[in-house]
Amino acid sequence: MAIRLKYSEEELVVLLNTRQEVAFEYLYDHYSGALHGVLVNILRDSEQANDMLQEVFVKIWRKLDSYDPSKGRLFTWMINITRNTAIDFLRSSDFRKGSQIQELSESVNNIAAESASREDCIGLRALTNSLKEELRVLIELAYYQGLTHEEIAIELDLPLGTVKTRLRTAISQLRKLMLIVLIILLLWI
Amino acid sequence: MDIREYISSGIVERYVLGLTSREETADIQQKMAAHPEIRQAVDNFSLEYENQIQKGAVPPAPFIKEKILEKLRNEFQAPALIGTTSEAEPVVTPLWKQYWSVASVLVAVAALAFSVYFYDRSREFERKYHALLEEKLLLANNVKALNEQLHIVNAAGTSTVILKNVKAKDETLAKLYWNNQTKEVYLADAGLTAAPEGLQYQLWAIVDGEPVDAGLLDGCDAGICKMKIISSAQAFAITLEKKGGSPTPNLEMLTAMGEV
Repeated sequence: MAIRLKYSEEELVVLLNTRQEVAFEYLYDHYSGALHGVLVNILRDSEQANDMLQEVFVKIWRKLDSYDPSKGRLFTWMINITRNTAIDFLRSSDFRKGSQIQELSESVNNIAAESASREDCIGLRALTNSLKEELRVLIELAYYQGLTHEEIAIELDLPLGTVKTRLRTAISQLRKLMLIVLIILLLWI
Repeated sequence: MDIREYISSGIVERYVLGLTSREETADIQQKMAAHPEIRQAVDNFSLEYENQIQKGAVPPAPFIKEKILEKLRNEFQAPALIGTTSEAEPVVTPLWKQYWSVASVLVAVAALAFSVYFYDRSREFERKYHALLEEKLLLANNVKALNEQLHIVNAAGTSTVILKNVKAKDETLAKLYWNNQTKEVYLADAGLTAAPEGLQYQLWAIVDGEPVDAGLLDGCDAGICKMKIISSAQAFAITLEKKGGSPTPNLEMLTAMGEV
């Protein structure tokens, strides 16, 4: 017999605190696709994303004690762990030494050409690509490559203030696009 | 600090996206704790962001789940309801007694069959246990909602207005709680049938003979809805209006009414 359960985030936290396998399975079944999507978007390599997903879920499971609901939602917390793991990897010396990666400055120059040719973009990345070029580059560097504002300023040879305002504009446009997507989704249902 | 200005400064979005510096992070977390509006803004954007991420989901290779389960195998807690798992005891059998070895094989097979059976049963109990856990949480939330309702009803200055069916005068369709100090209006809509497709119930306060919009009934989960602030009224009425409400009531669709 199958009892299908659906937990709200609050209930899920209670369930996870039991540290039982069913709790993990629920977590995995409901969030693995989304977190895997985050990894695919950042790493752009599905095999690597599969490997890293294992690392990410082990990390999430072991760090659950440090999740603090007063600081934000559980799913957002998991997304951030996922993104950070991927970015730490991208920025690690191991990865940089690998031939598959260009140097940072090179990659900045390639961003425009590269993404224009990508049609298989999904989720957030698809939205990012619909931003104006000068704004898109900022999301690319800050969100997908994890550069600090200062690093972006050096990379793009822009004053720090300009980086900050442009990033703010970029995010607020992204948010508007996200809302439109949400509304379309609601109408669809 | 101007909270609205702070919320619209872009810091909320950057915090959720993980693009804040260490100092900014500590700062907004402190502010979230102190100002529920900021926390609300963070949650709102989080939900939009999570929705977007969920839309970009890519199913991982099927074998990944097994691999992770394998890695975490030793870290899972045994389910609370499962007792000691029955393991087949090794049966010591003198080789020269064939009877006994046959018997022992039978015992082992039976023990295995039992353990498979009990394992299945325990999984089922485990699932049921979690269904109960969920129900318990739902009940806890209901109790909380009821307590809030009780608090509203019992507050000093609250008077009750019974809204009766205009077609069958004895039938109470809703109870309205109106506080003459805070001027807050709450409506418990338990007796109303669900509004037909495309229509919505709307509450009106009758002030000196004029109907004043007191808000739409929009699915009150807790059984009690907070309506608009009404400073004075002689009566309250509920009409059925098109979705989104109307500026003036459609009196032909008058459903319930009650005098203060």
